Amino acid sequence: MKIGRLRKISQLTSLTLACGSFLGITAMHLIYPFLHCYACPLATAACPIGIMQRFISLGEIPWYSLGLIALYGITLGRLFCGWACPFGLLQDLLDKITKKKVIIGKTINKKFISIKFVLLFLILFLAWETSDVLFCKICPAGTIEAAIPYHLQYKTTLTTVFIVRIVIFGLLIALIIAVTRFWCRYLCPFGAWLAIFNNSSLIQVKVEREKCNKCGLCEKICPMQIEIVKLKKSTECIKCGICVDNCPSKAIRFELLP
Amino acid sequence: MAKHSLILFGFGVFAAISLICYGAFVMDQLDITRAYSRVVCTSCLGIEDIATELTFQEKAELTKVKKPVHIVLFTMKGCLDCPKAHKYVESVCEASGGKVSYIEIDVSENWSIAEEYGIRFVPTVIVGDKKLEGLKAIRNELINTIIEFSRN
Repeated sequence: MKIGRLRKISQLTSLTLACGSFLGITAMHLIYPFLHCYACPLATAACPIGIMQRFISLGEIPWYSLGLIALYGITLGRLFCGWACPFGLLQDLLDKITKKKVIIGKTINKKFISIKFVLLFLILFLAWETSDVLFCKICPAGTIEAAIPYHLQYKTTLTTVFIVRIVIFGLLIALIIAVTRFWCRYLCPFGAWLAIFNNSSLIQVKVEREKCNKCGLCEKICPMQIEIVKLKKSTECIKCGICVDNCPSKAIRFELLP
Repeated sequence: MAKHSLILFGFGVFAAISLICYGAFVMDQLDITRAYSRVVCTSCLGIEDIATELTFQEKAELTKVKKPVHIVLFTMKGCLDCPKAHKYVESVCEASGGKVSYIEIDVSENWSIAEEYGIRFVPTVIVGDKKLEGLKAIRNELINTIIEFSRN
């Protein structure tokens, strides 16, 4: 079976488990290994960024959450972005709207990648400084998974926070349609956290240089725009396996702790 | 599988599990995590924003309360609507001339009570067996619920 198909099954299973409270699945003391709003009416666990903000806003160090999300990072790293994140699945679906994509220049891409690390630091710093979960108020995952469903369910009043949320979400959707996995590449704060551990995580993508014919196809089709052949490892690789599936000389494969 | 990668991986897993155990069993953060992930703060979703001052008419309505009514207000630290709900409930109690009283329960500190009452939103007010979830419901329905409850 192709990796792409396995990945779709994994993403759909993950979505079902993440929204599985209607099946009676709840483990709210656990933390999702991806960005998924805990306020979602069907949520089964806690959002990693949300819960860290909550603890920090109360002046507490989130030992338990830090340990759990570090374990996610160390074991599978950004594999969760490609194989489990429901927001990643949404991006994959939006990606199919048009084949005409905006290609970001290599230099700009490298600079933009660091935005998410700055964002992660800012989110945690602001939680501590303002004693509030500011990012939760604009989080796009929270908008689609919680704010919109609650708004429709309870027909609540339109507030400034809600309007700001919708505007940000709309802008982001446009950017995701134009640039593949825009949110994962440049903005996702949990992606930044997992990226820290990505190069030492259990599963890595390996290029067999002797087999590689340097056709450059892998780099063209990589949703994260990684220079696969040039780089030995990348903090950005979401291990989606698109390069593995499409390499004409079968030079790319997954490897355990290379 | 490279030996040094395996050692690094093993050390990382050990450190992460140590942090989890320290947080869960020494710092007792499991229940708080569950409380924070179970309870939805309406202000964070941006779904409610409402004035909480009592009108003259509402104050006059509250004089109709015949017998003592006890209400429970569930709040949570970091919730922006909770102080507004607290202020509103307090002014309702004052306007009733002491017939209505309330206790406030912080969900993050009293998770088991919140679970017993099936609390999903903060702020939530419970009057008898009626649950008013969110600031809007509290603002629009609390006084009528209290009056109705005091009649029965």
